[in-house]
Amino acid sequence: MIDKHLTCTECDELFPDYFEGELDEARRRMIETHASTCARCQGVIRDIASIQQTAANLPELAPSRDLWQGIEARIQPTVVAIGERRDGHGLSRRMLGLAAAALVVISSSLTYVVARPPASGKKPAPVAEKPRSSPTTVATNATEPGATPTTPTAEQVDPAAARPSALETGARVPSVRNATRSARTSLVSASQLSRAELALAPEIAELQRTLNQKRAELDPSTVKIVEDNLALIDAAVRQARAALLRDPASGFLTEQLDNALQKKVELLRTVALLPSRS
Amino acid sequence: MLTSTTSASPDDSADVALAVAGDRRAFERLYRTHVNRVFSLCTRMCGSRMRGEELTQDVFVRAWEKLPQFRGDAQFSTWIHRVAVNIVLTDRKNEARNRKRMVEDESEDGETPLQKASVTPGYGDRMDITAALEGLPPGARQIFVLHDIEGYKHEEIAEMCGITAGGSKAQLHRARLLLREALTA
Repeated sequence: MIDKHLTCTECDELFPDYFEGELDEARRRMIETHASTCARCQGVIRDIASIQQTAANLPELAPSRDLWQGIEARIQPTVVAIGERRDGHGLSRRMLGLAAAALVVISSSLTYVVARPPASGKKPAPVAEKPRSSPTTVATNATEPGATPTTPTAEQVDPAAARPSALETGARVPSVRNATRSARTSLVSASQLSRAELALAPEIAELQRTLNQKRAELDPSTVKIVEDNLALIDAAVRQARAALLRDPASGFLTEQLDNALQKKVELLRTVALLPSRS
Repeated sequence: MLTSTTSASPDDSADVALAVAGDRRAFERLYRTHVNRVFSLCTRMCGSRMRGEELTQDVFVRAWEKLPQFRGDAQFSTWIHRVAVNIVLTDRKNEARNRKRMVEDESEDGETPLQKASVTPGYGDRMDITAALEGLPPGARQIFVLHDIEGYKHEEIAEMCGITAGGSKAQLHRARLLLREALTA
């Protein structure tokens, strides 16, 4: 191999490793020996070396206009009105499908609980009965004019936030591991919450208080199903949040987190509208 | 990987802390410091100045949204650079998906062949790589920008692009040969 004379084709095959400096000395010398008598391969080596050098020293470009105004307009704080729905812009069909499927499962569970005849032979609770508590009050508390929203803790947004998820127990780089350890012993700070979490926090906290107040009025099996579904959603929230710690720029994960939080709000709103046990 | 004069800016950490707390003026200062580097990356990776400006705005909006999760383990310049790479790669995937829907008889991975016509003739010895880059197929262009201009390693590129390190190396060599062809035409 040492004394072999390379052809241009053989050089072409070796060039990727040659330019990356990954060839052993013998092969490197063979290429250079060949190039010393081959104008074509000599040209390839010279030109690509020149391209590499030029590319590494390219100057920075500047935009033709000031982009800040457009950015500033998009980062203004937004007010999320209760009842407002995301229009789905930016969601993939797959995500929309998954979200729809999850909604169907949750709605079906609740509908079954409400509509099924009671095991004890009692009359079933009328589905269309006006709830005793006023859900409207609950749903608008978070956005009442004059209300001063306090900065929520992660527990207010997601009481399960203080519990580590399966994802969070994996080995990580030290910084993330430290953050995880911190999350096990204390609540996630408000600064770690996404904008969506902060926006939905007051309503989630209010709806959860309503759920706690209504707990005694609801059928125990209904409460069980609601809590099971909330646990599933909380797990999704924790997983999305943990994944975002590792990949903060992921639009997909951000959407996952937002969708899970929206789902939680929708479920809690539905529960607030449930009729009490007859 | 990333060597930038802006990355050593001593004011970054103070402005990052203020921006995390919601100070948009501090975030604007961060924008002013890093916009050219982000814009250069976006423009060279996508091959269009106009699209590069749009993507640069997307990068800073995303950075603002994700800033509370920035822990300071890396420099802000490194972090926002990674955000920019992810934004451009995601944009390319979306673009390729949309194009695939619209055009049935697409070439192999939705890439267009090198269009020599887009490269101004007569460069001669002058290596106007920026112009020539626009004529490269998107995949090869992005790997060339990430490796030869931005200084990422093949392993890092492989992770970001979802390919193998060998695939990254092969694409890079292809890009260099296409550039050479364009620049010496």
